[in-house]
Amino acid sequence: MSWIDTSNWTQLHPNAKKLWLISLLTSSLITTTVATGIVFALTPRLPKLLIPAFLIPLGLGAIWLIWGLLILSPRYSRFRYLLGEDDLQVSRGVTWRTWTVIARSRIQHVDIQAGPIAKNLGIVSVKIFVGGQMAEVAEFPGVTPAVAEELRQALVLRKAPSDSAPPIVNPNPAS
Amino acid sequence: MNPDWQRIHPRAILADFLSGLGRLFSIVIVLLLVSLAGGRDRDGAVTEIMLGIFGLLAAFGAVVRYFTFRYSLHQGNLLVESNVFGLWKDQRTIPVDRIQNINIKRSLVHQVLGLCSAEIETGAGAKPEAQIDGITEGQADQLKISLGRMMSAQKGEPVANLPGVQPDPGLLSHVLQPGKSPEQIIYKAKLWDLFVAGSLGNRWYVLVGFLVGLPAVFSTMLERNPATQQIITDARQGSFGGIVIGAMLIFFAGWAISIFQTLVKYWNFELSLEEGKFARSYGLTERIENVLPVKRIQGIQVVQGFFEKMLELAKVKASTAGGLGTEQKGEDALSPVLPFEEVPRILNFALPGIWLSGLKIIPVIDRAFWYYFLSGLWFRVLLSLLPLFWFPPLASLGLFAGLNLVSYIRCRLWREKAGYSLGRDILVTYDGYLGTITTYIPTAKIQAVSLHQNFFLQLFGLAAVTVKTAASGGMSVIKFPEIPLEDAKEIVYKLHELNKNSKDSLLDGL
Repeated sequence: MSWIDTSNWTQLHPNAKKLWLISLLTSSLITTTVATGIVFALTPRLPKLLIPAFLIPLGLGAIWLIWGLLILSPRYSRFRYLLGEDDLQVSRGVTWRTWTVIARSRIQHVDIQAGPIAKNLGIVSVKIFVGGQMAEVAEFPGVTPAVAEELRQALVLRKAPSDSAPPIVNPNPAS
Repeated sequence: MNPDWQRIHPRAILADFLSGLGRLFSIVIVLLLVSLAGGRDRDGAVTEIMLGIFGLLAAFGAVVRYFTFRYSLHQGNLLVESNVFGLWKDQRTIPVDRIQNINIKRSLVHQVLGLCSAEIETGAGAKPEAQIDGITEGQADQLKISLGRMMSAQKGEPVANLPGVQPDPGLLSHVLQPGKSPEQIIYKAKLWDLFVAGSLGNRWYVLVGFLVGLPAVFSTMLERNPATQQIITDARQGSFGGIVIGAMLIFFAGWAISIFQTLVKYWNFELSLEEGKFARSYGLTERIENVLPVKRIQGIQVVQGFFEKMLELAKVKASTAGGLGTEQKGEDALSPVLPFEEVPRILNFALPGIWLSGLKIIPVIDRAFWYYFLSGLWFRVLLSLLPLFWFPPLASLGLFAGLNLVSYIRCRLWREKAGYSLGRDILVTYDGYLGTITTYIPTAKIQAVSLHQNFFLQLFGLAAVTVKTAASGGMSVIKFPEIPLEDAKEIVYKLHELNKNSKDSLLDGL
């Protein structure tokens, strides 16, 4: 019972990994510092525990950071997408794996976004929206502006790229 | 060419003034209560002054709106403008070909003054994109006729020359056929149906409101009254009889309010089908008439609570892109309640050309049941550890056993009810514990399909399939029960195959 075969699919730009690393470090450090500070201040009012209470958020923050660092590479290598003739497929995630298939005729609009760090790294994020959904249905969190523009052209203007993959086919149609 | 601006009717000033007072009603009630309860304002001077200020504000707002609000149909667009003394100008342009729905509403004040309110919807959001409040029935009819003509002209359809003689049947059928023939009416709610709907509706907030709010407000007043003094005293002293009687009274009051609300909201509910559109009219104090084109329906849900199941009743909800704007949370009830035997007939109308009988129901498998039961274990363990702070370990153990028993029963009930069916044109999912929720999504309306596997699902060899639709509210994301990974992959391929060539459009549903 294996996950779908994504070996021939496109990967994100390698700088996406750097962006995720910076994001992980800043978010985990800020959140852990704030949470530890709050718990430390509230310690006299909390019930007595076996260990000092402030160690709990500190420990959880450390687990978060270590876990994030451990899955950074697998997370990057497992984020892949395939632009087909009539569909777009995205497969991502390590512990929580997701495979999304969107018919290209369903795409309503595409957003291209870049924060200051992403800009410095020379990458942008592409978000895909379908009808009726407030949030994006798929996101490519790290492609070059040129690739983003190519995706936008292909998805919104319905131009099939020359190197697009054939439509998806069930590898096991008899079942 | 300048637009031919139309104004609302002068009687709208009075209607606005009265509804403005209505909006301030809650504040007025609070002021009166303060006055009655013997607050600081013993001579009532502050209350009177406040009431006077509110009255003046309401009157001023009504006059300003009359002189600053106008609308026009100009060059294929509906223009709605409010321009307050040239300071705040708001002009909205709605292309006529984007308009999907026109609702006509009549509040109690409108009914007395012979006015109505027209709501224009394009499906872009959950609220109407324009509201023309305070026009006469004639103005509303003329607006619908003109909009219908413009839409027909833009589609290249033949348009009648004489106004109101042979108008476009699409938008206008509802207006021009005030008396519907019985065969057009699909369902007409009986008084008993509404009574049952109100009795079974989830109105816990009313009860909570009563429990929390009323004693706080009325305790002083009740204490002064010899008839109620004893109850209050008993309740304060913890007398069991007094508390039980109080709780029962509160419960029945909440229940009665719930029934009353439903009766007023859905009074004389009528669902009919005309020219491929559902038409609904209902309401006692506010009469609502709206039209829902069948092609705009993105999904249908048939909901049966525990008691509704026992009484063989059901509620049918239809969801559209953007919502109908008349219901909250995107829940557009096709019917507040109806006998369950009527459901297949409504489904036939709502999902035309889709073959529902003979669909094979795929039930939940054993592995999914155990996943469902065990995936919540960590939470039950954490919850059971809480009493350790205050009670001996045996209490934690008891709580843990109790929580697991409840969870097991809940999962067994879910296993009995949950499942899915997949036909060529339709996807059906079944969910629920004590009641059931059956969701019907035409495959042509699906927007995207996803397959998920978290760590535990990977351990069990299962996967979860979710389908995203353009529907609003609870039908926006449809989740399958957990199924084996290979089956889930098969479903994603199949749904994509059925959906990829669909020409379904959000705007016209074609």
